[in-house]
Amino acid sequence: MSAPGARPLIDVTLVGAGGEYMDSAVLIEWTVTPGTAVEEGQTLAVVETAKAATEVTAPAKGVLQEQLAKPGEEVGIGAVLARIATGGSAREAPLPQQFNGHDPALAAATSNTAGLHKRLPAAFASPLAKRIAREHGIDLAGLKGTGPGGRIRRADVEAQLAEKQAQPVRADAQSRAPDLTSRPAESPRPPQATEGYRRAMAAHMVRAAAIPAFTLGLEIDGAKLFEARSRIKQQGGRATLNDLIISAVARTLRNHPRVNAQWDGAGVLFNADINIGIAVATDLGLVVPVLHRTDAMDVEAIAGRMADLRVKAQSQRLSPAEISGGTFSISNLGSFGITQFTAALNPPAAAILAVPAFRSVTLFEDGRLETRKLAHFALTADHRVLDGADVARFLQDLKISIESGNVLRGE
Amino acid sequence: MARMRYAEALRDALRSEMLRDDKVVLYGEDIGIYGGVFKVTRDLQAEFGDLRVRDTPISEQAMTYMCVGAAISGLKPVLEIMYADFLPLTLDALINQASVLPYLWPVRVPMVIRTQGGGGSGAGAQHSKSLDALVAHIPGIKVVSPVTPADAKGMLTAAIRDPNPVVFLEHKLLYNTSGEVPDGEHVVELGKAHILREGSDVTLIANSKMVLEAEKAAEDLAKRGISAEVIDLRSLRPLDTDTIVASVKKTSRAVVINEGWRFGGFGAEVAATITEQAFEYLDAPVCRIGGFDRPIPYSQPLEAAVLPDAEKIIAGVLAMDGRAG
Repeated sequence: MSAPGARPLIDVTLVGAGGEYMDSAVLIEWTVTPGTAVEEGQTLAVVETAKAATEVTAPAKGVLQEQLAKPGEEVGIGAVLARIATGGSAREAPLPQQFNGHDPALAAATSNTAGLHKRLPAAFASPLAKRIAREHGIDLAGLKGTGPGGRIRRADVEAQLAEKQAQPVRADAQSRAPDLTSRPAESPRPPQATEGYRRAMAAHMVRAAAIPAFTLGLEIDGAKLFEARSRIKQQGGRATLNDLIISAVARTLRNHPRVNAQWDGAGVLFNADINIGIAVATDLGLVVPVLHRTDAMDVEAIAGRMADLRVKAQSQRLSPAEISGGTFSISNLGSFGITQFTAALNPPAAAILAVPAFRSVTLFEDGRLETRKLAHFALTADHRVLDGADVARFLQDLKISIESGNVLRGE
Repeated sequence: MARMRYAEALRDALRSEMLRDDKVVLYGEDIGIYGGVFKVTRDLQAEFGDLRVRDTPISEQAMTYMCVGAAISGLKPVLEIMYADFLPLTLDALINQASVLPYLWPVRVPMVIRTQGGGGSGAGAQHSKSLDALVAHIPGIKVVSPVTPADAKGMLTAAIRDPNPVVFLEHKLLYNTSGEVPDGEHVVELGKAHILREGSDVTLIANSKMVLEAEKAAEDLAKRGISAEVIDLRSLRPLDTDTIVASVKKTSRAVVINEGWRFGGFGAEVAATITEQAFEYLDAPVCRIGGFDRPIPYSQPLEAAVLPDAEKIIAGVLAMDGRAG
């Protein structure tokens, strides 16, 4: 432990992600060894929650004094992971020691991943360089650009990336003992990463299965969705069918507050905002990034944000804020050609919509043969919050919304 | 395949379409006995008669209105405007009639305006312009500019068969270039760009004669270790954005070259499209190479100074990397 009278110590605590069901995380690895000088915002460790791998960063500049958890260990929200001895200057000393995980503003300010995701103020870099850096978690601030006027180019980021990949073990880690961080260079993530994630996911699904749930489905004609998608493409825009469905769902939810609600133990809690979580399959497993205030976004905004979230999800760089606060979920397995399925609840949200693939179906209607693009939408609901008629009315409205196409024109 | 000159390839297309469809008629100044100022319509009046190959008075405005009237009455007129510099005289007929009539009435306006533009021959400020952007700005009109003799034949055939008004831009320095041209029927779909040369470091996007300059530049850049992809747009409207965007996503850099004035030029449209659709793939700002914002000088050394060429394209590519030529 630290010597008495030495520099003040600051706790590095595990903060929550908006308070939902995340109550613990598995420590995957330490990226800094005790005794090392660290900068504010520097990554100290990687942890994995039920939702995503995320990073723990230093709340202040100083020297990493001690580590209080080992890789593979499950740690609770609010637990102290490490201590940093600070220089004792006024700027560095007073920092929140605890965080209750319910204040998004505070979460953003002290979030473990804030340092990773915040916009880098002075990075003069090409859009491509920025994208590659973002995907690989490279800090552009430390890079020297070789382009005109010092612009950071792809080559500069790739050189840095190559260097990073060639040296997965930090130089100082080799000279210090005990060494909890050393691992084979070929294995950037130890095997327990997946196990930790799976364990958390398993616990979450057991919780979901304990909820009395039921599923209702109906067929929706997607012709207007396909039309809207090609119209947007013709106008030079880009939106997937999923983006258009998200938009229609968000607008339909406005008239169905009960579907956008949750059971809080004593009664129904109606959510003020419509925040739709979208199930995304990644190499690590399922993650559900959230589009906050989805109903306030137009299709273009949804498409842009989804593209961004998908990239982040694949590279496991979603911030806690980006995976929290969901009030409704959508799972779309249409791209896999799945024609019918029901989705498991994603608590605490009371409902989840399963969207399968659209199929061309020829029907005999009003004495004529008609070809329709149909898909069997299925909504699974928490029966403590919703009854069959609630869900049926919501699905009917969603059907009208999608089939009329009004909502897809941004009306 | 036969080897033929660009002008001959155009004549081949005109003649074949006139034989195929007696609704195809040619109008223009001196296109009859004289055979047109660049001899594209040589001997066609002798073969098809002066009703189908008609010399007109010197009034581009009247000629274009006549085409619009002929087109909506069921003919398929192909009008030769001697120099692209006179396109402004056709604009009322194009902007207020040809392009909008199908939106107002149940009619089609299947007409083609062939014209030639561009500098490089010392023809002076009133006979050297590239007004591609001016006509490409009008919705409802297709604008194409083939560079090879094969495309000249294939695209003119497609233009004549197209039910919409098409402005067919030729370049005065291309008429004497030659190349292989498919025999018999040859149709090149309008609206498709053509990747002339594959590359990985930078995409050079050009049309008309500037494609030849881009190819020269790509040759030179290869010697400097820079692999340039060359796209011949062929069609300005509809614009093949898919090909452009896919190429830029591959190379991360784009240089857009058009012979017309750079300010408000067609290159600006392409550059903006790239920024909209491939922003996160760009490793440098899109570079535009265009004509200087000046009337084209009569003096040939001065004319060369204001027009884009391979050397200016190479300098543009090197400047993207912060290197000097």
